[in-house]
Amino acid sequence: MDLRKIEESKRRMRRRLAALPFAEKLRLVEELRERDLALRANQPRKGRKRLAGP
Amino acid sequence: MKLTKTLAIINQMQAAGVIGRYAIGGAIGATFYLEPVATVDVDVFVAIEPVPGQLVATPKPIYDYLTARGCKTEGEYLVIEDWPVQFLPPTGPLVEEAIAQARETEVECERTFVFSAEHLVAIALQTGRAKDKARILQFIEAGGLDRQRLDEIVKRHGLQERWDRFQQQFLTD
Repeated sequence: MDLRKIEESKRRMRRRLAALPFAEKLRLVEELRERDLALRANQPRKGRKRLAGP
Repeated sequence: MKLTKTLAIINQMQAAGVIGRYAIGGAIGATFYLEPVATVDVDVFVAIEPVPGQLVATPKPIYDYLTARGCKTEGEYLVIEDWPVQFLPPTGPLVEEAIAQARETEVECERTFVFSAEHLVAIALQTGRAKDKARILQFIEAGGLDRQRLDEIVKRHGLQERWDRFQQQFLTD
């Protein structure tokens, strides 16, 4: 396992994602958010965390 | 996309004169420059002017406009097209300048405004939480910062000492 190669590969992926058009990136943000909310809703004891911050 | 609809409603509110110039900050603003950043809300920075005859500016006109159009409140957020949006007044000259100098862009033909990368970094430096520092490092690694412009903003808003400390802590080998 070459950690340097892994890190370089991640960096390339981040650059590729950053270069996408803004609208495309926002679509990905929406997907991430839906996953995040689904995970929060399925937390066994805490339930869905309030959206409001401190 | 729901976010485009959210932006469209904010633009309608601007066209109706409820708000003046606005700009998106936070994770959505950072996403303009970086890889998509996970978030559950939208931060909209807006200069809130006092209603004629009142001395104190309040976000009430925003709440009135949006709730009259069916938007619900959730804590300190207004939920617009399923996205919780927080309308934030400028906390000082840095954010005022960031709003004034925000970049205009389009999302699916919807015009919107996003803080410049340098202002996002300066605001993160001023806020100073761990996640803000992590975001500054993301911007630096992405390599899209205008360092001269950032240096000018840092100096103009009294952030030089914080910036020096940040660089010493994170950017020295």
